[in-house]
Amino acid sequence: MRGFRVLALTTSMLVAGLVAAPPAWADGASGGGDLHVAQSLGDRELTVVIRRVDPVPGPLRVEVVSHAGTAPGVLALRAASIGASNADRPPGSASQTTVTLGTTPGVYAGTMRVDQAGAWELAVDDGERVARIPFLVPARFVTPWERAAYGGFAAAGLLLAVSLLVAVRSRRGWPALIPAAGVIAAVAVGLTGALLSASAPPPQPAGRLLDPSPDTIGDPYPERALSTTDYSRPPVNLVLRNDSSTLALTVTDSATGRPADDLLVHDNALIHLMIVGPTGRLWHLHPIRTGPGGYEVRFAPSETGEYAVAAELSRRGGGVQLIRSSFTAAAAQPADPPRRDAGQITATPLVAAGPSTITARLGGPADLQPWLGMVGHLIIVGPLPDGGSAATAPIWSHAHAMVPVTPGATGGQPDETVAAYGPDVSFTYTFPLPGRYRIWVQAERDYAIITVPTTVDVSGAR
Amino acid sequence: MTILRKPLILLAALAIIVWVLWPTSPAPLRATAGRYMVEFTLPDPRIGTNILTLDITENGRPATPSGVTIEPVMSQMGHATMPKAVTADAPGRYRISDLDLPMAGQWEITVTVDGDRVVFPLLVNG
Repeated sequence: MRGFRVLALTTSMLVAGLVAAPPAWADGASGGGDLHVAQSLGDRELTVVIRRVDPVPGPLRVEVVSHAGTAPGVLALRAASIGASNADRPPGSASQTTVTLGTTPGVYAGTMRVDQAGAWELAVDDGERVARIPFLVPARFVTPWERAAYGGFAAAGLLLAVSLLVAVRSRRGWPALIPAAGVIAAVAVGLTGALLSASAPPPQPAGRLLDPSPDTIGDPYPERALSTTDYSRPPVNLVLRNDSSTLALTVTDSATGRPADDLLVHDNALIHLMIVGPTGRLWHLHPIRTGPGGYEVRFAPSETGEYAVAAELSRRGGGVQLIRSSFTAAAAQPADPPRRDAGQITATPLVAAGPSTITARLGGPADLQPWLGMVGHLIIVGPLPDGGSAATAPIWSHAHAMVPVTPGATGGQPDETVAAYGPDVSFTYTFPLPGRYRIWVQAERDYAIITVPTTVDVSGAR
Repeated sequence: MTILRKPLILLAALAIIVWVLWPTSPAPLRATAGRYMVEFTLPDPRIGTNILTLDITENGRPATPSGVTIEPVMSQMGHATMPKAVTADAPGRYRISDLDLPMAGQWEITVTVDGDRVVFPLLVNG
């Protein structure tokens, strides 16, 4: 009789311990980190850092990094829940604040509040235009192996108490063996879960492969039930419209023609827009998102002629794309005097189809700051046709000099306040074709973007 | 007493097991399209023909918009379909019993109510 009672209690506790582990324990993980998004908002080049929200509900800290030449002023920030909701995940309440940019470049922060996991949008309003940055507040979840580990050890503890109780109360010895066997089973489950959790694949960051939805955001592996493993989406088409002050971009799905509203932040921007003017001047801008598939950037042409354009972006599901285009414009404003950034570019012998190393020596102390998450950027356009435009150059490349790893560092990528790199920045690049190339090295120092241009000749393969 | 206790404990254990393992269907998705609130119910989306129910309300009351269309797009394949007009069974209630979703993966169902669009993400298992 007593044996049956103990068995029933044991079974119910095991089941309760293993299966009914609550879905939001305090030590559950929530993927995702800080989001750094470069935005060319009007004449201001800003980096908007959306710090990871943990816990939810909790404070949402947004830092706006201004750069040399950024006009002081007030930005209105507003965070609002977007997309579908359901009864389990109702839409979050909107929250707003203002950030006053001072005259010195640096970090200006504001704090808002986020009360629900899911898809959110941060609107950055400078009074004339609004940048709408989508971001995701990940939900907390417990992976299956964590659940097995916690549930197994909890059940083992309970069963140990039960077996002690039974051993003391029972007149016969054998009933205590039943919960004791349960202890062994529960410890085995807990150990297996704990050992597996170390080597199990970590969940993909929410929203990276699949559209965020209230149904899937709390699921660490929403893709597990799919028979497909290729999550990539079709490439995009880019349509440019320019007037004397603004360049508007429309991003559409190349297969369906519908607006592509699933761009991910890649290398710290939704779109990296590189423009090479008729005389070889480079602009590296980050258009603001104005709506689904709609982007714009302030661009007043100072030269008449053809402007070559390349946009780098990444859609949900994987894959970075380089889309090239061009537009012609008449000079709308006088050209500002050419900026001469100090710096010298040297290179190992440049032979087509073989790797060569290009080094920019920027001088001064080792105080370069990471811009767009990288110590340096190398942009290569060529081979240039005689007197031709960069728009027809067959090669357009963008290489990076990564931030060196700091042993023991935690907390994600260093932001722009870390001025500790350089002053030499090296890139290794294989020129696919011989000919004359324009190259630019970009880096950041004292919150100013340094651009060092030069022209190189690449000889034919030996 | 002890005769009664055994089935009671077994029943309690059974009840716990059933309660824990009882299948739950996710709550319907909700989103606004213009002045309308659209509730989107498609439990357990599967490859093949699915049944979708839309409940459209305005200020909490069943709405009678003049035009409602649905437009399924398989975003990973770049496969769009012609928007399909749907008609109400009852005020504010639309039941689409022949929603064909031919493959597993990420679908986006655009619902247009009187010209205002709203997109529902849908993960089709299979």
